Amino acid sequence: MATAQAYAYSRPSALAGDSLGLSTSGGTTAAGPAAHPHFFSGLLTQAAPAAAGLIALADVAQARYHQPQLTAMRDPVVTCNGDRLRMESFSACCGVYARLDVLEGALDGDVVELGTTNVDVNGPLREALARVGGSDPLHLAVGADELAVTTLDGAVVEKKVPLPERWLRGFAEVQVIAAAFDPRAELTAPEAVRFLRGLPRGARDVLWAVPAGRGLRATSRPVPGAVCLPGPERLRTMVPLLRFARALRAYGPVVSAGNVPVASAWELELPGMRYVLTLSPEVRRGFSGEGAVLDALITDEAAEDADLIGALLAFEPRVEPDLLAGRAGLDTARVRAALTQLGTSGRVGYDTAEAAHFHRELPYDRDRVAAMNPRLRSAHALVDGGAVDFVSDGVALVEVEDRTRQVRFGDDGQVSCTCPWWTDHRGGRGPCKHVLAARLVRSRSHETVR
Amino acid sequence: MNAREVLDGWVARPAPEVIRLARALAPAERREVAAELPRYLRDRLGSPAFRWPDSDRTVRLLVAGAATIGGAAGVARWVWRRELRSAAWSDSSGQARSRLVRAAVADRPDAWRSDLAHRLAGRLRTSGDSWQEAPLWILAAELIRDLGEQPPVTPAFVTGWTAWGATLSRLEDDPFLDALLPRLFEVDGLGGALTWDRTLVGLAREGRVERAALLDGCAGRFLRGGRVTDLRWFVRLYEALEPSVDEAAARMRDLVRLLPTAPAPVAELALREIRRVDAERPLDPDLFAEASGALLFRPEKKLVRATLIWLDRTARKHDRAGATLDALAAVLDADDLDARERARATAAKLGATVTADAPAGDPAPPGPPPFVPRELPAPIATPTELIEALSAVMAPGRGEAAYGDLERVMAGVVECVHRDPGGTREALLRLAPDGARDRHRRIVGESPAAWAARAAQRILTSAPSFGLRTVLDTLRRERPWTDALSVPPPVLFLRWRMREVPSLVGRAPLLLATPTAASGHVDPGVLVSRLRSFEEAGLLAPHADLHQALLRVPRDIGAEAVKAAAELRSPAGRVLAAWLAAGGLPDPRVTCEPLKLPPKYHRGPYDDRFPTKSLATVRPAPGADVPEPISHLVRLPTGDAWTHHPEYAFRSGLSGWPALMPSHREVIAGHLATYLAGSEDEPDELGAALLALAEADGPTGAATGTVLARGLSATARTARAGSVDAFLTFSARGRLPAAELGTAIPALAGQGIVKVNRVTEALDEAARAGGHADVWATLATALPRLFPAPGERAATGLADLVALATRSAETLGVRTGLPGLADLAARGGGSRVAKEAVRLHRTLTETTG
Repeated sequence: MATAQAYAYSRPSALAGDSLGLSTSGGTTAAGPAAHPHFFSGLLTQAAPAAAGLIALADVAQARYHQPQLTAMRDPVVTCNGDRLRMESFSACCGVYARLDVLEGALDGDVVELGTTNVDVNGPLREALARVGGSDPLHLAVGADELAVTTLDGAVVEKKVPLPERWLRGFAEVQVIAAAFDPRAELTAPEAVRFLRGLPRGARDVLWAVPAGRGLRATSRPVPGAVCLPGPERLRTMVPLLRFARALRAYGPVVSAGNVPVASAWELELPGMRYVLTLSPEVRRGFSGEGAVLDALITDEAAEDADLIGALLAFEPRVEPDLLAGRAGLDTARVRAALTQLGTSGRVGYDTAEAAHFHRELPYDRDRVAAMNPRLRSAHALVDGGAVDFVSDGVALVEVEDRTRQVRFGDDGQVSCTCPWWTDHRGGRGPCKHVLAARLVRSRSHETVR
Repeated sequence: MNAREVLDGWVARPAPEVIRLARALAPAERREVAAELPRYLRDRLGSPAFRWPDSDRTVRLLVAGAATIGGAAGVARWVWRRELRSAAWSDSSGQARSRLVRAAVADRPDAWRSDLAHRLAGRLRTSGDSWQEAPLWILAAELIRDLGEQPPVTPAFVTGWTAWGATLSRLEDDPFLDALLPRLFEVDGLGGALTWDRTLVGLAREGRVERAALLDGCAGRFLRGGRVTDLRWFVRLYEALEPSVDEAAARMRDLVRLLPTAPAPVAELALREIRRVDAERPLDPDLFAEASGALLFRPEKKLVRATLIWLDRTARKHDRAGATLDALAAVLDADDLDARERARATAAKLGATVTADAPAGDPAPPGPPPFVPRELPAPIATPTELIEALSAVMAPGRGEAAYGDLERVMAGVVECVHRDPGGTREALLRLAPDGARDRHRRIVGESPAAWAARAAQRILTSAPSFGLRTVLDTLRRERPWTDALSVPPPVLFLRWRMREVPSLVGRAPLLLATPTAASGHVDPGVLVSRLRSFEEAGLLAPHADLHQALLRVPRDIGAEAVKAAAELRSPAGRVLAAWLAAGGLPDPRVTCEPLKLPPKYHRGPYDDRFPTKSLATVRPAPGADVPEPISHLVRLPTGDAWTHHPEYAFRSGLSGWPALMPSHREVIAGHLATYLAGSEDEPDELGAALLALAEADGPTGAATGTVLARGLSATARTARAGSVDAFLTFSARGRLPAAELGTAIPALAGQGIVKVNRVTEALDEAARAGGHADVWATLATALPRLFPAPGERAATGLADLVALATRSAETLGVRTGLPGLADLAARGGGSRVAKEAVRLHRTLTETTG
């Protein structure tokens, strides 16, 4: 179900002379909701890479990789975490998440407020950003700067773009998926250039990359230590940034031989900033179908913990679970589960480079972001309909429309099912509804036993 | 008044008449008719007269709505209705409809009509069924034009203007020109279909449009980027305007800034402009540094070369030797040898001391990654696991993946039933995958799903399998190898064995041939004890299974297994004992060479198009006593020699072939090579098949070389990546048939099947991953056969292959000549092949290490 998102800016973002004014729409600050929050005013010392990074973000926001055709653009989300500015965008096909982290080293100025909101990106701004070059710094203002208003005027901007539920869910869910990633490879600048330029153009199939020598080599199948590169075409927005690249790092989950395609994150280090792309496991598959969050959502306890932890967050650039555990009086495992829950409702992001969550509040309708996953909804329906029957402790039969599926709980904690969907993805897209339903029944019966 | 009757009357009259009649109605009556319209349309949609939007009757309804509906929003909705929207098959039909609708609303106030026009324009989309929107754009545009208003400047309206504006007026008379022209450069996705560049240049000459605006517009468009197909038009427009040096100089900063990211045609234009300006008034140092840096960083060899020529010619003239040397530093060690040499030559000319040729790029790893055998998944232990594995194999659309799990599933079926017949039957009855549940259904087909289903079906048939069924099974099983010409022998062999399995379900304790290693090998000790369990149960060993097991014993058998086998007493046991004592199958003789033969469906004596294809010939080792079933695999072709090219139908399951004969991979390579000869395309699973060959055992030769050459040249990226993996695995195990691969590449390239440029890419990847030594060994054989004879054209991509050889030779420090290289190098000439040959020759004859 698509609902529209309306952005309201007091004027368009613009680059005039050497001052870049990014206009903000309604968002959240540490003090509460704000119509046009003002986050930062000061110098952007690395102007050229930042400008190129912003263009790349806009390209991702406009892309639909499975069906190359430009779409309505959803404005990037900007978060001021104090020592850094993070700008995020999410492709229209829900398969690519991009973030530009502008770090302390590239900023020289005053943080006015902490918080998250949208920033306006428009055609003339793109053109002006493409004109940025050389080594001169830019004056940057994120949000209404009283001084800037006098020089950068323009009409109020109102935009309306469709915001489908799966897009919202995917944007939130990608954070949870990334939280399971580990570093897999690091390439020097020349190797990064060679690797990214050598990727086949327009390729939408799944590649696996393994470290070879100092570089990465495409291989035909998953092996331990490999990182999945699904749809190499989707890294193309990195190519214009290569001239600034210092290193390329790849992150992904643990991969074993015979693995199904998995998501991965690719981080280009630039002077004073990082540009990260997280790719869904297949070009035609958006993040919203991944179901990585389902295990975390299944308990009610996590929801309560999430409320508690959520109240303690204050736009930290790095959320420390241990610290939060102390303050909330919960153990670290529960804090982590709560963070996953918060991730699904768009309230924390995950930074693979720091291996830590960061606080941000997606500037969209929170109820819609956190709407119950359809698969979980189906699982509840199965349980309520009495479709789950445990024939032994580790084996459940789930009756679905005159068909029976077998859910098996292995000794190693692995759960598997006989449905075709499971056969195809082998857990790569999270548990199927049968597994979820069996888990729900199992956890309830365990509780009653206790 | 009855609205329905009114409408019945209207749709029978010409549209202008409808307008007249509508005007004659009182306001209340009009409203009544308007209210009836949607229902009227819905009820009549089924009838032929209303089914098509272009029919007279629907046009009349359209007009009726425009004339009676009160609000502009309502009219906009009405004319936008899908049932009433017509595709503008011709410009005139769109305009005719527009004329009628405009006539129908002519009596409304200006503000109302303006509202309608903007509402229509607001509904236009930039993409989608744009041809359906043409009449609506025309309607909106004409309404606006009638009112003399400014047009909307939305992307969709501008796109519509570029597409259909010409149907209304010539560009020079177009009242929208001034308002919409600037947007032409801003709206994304325009350009690809534009044809106006000449007209615009003419208008600029006449002063009708501003020349500077066009030039600025182009520069702005270049900066914003876009698809190459779109940007080409702006390049054409810019060039057609023939900007003066002053005009280009005024846009110098923009032209420099677009160099890093613009598509090649735009960057080429920018470089031409920069050079033109620079020739008259040298760039300022900052811009020069930026421009040269951005250009030399680009991946296009052509642009880099043009830049190096520019730098070379202007360094002294413009007195910027220092700045030029700074820029050149980036390419002094470039991978592109041509760029490297040009840069070095210029640097030397400018007085810099350039160090002797450093090896290109980063040092490659010393050798290929070590070979780590794959792990075999654990066997199926319980009925619950079996159900899961069966579901997976039998799931639709599993394709190649199902072959990978086939052995494990079939072994699982046999073993589970033997161990726990009741439990297995119960589990299967509970939720057998669709297809296996019905115990009487005849399952047809030859695929892992069908084989597994037939075996699973047997779990449910409780009666012991004797009687007619067994006899039928046996007959089916013993089917002779007649269709060997359309079905490859490995496929026949696998089918033959899979047909046997259902008869074993419930009888045999296990399968003899289930692999104990991922390569497909069966441990000889395990095999002996498996056969012993048959003897202990008083059962005959299954015929096909036994022969498959014989083929799967490793090359190195070990004395213990031989000794243990000698104690077996059954006929099959004695066969196995003798087989193991003899050390398994003696290596068959395999050759693989290009043969010029008639195709299978030869068109008669006058058809002389005999293609050349590389076919393998497999013969048993001289004097070897090969059991009959196995002989089908080691005899190719079945006759004395190939008489025509075989034409195999497409098969899946290629990647499973090597596991049929894991100790004699060259035989399987022979079958693969012959199968592949039937098509110019390489199947996706060829990479996996090659990897399986690389992980198997046995000698490698011409057949392996041929299949590998096909894989390295595969169009599919996965197949090529798998072939590179296979190359490296062969290399790591010291078994890469480099000379044979080096022979196969030119031979297949000569047949037009292998593409040299794709092989280059694959070998380059292999070299970077540590396969330099074998890449060089391959090229040392391949290159002399690929060098063009005097006056001959070189194969596409040969220059890059020679460059790769140079890099490999540099890395390895090779100093041996190649036949024909000295001649080619001495021949000279301006082609890249000639230059790369000179370079390789120099590398190979350099005295310093």
